[in-house]
Amino acid sequence: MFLKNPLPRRRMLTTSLAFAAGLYTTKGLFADLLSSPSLTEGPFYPDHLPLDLDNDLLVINNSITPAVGTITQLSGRVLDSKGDPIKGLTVEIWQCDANEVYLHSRDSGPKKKQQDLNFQGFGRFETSSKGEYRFRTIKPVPYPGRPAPHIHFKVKRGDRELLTTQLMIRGHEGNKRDGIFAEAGDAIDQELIQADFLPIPDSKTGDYYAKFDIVLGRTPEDKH
Amino acid sequence: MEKKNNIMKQSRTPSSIIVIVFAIGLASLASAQPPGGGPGRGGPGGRGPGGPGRGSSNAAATLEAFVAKWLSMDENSDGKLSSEELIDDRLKHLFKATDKNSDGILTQEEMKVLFETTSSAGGRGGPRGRGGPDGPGGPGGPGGRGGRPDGPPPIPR
Repeated sequence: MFLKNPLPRRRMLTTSLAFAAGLYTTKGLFADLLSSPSLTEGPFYPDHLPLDLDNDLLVINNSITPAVGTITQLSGRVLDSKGDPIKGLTVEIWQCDANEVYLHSRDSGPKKKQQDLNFQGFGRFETSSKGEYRFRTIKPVPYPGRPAPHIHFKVKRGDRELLTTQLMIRGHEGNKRDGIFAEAGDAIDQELIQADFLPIPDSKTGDYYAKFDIVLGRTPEDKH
Repeated sequence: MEKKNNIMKQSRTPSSIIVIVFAIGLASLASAQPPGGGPGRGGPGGRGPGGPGRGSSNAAATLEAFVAKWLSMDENSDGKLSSEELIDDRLKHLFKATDKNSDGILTQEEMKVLFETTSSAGGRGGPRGRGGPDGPGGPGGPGGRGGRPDGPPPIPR
């Protein structure tokens, strides 16, 4: 009896080792998600941050006048290359208002008259335990020289910048003429910086929503 | 005699080194010139319209790299990507659009078609221009199309 047992055990061991080896050589199971492409910060990261930095860009502090534009609920997750959520990261967004003015003195200075003073222009949010972030903002519009409407993103851990990128509207006709969109890379890279902006069903105010997941590449010092 | 020979050897060594160094110098000059000239010329060619600085972050836009990205999810290593193998939800939309015969499987041929159609769509002019070993002529055009459009203020890289 004792002689018989070791063999099956050995077989079991071999089998489990082979299975484990099989797992490790199977690409798909351990494939990394593709990192979100890094794109230029552009010249208009606010030079003076607004007093109100929250995730509602449509209303500044207690103002009763909301910003002009199509209201958009923008949300998503920040994930690592294995698809696990990363909590406690700061997601910042900034974009021009509906009148094509950024919250930056070099842009808002010369365009004082056309600036929408009710648009916050910049917002921050800390990712939840599920890696989620959300903003209430306007659907982005084209900017002179930038036919692709876009929202700038920055992901940080504390003060350390992990990713700077941009979000564009999937299928927008301006994308094909946009240099930054082209710069993202091939069709896959370009896909990773787009999201559908769709009307929220039954929204009485005609609000839109967009979901945009961000995957951070793996760098040794950025492990969490 | 031995001493003389030694001296001769010693005195020959430095001069032969000089000759060798000179020869190496000449050779390296000669060999450096073609590549040096190539890129030198290529640079300005691509730079004209768009600027070679552009697209550098994602410049590796080759068909091979493109296919490899899809196949990094090819779990059973059959050289195709099925919808079940597609682990990245962000690519579902593109997967559907690329799967022309809607059989739920992306073949390398379909990937190639996507790559070629999106390349010629103008998107990746920049990177191609930069690649520009072909020099200023051909790639110059695409480079321009990819060129920075951010008209008003210069966008810092």
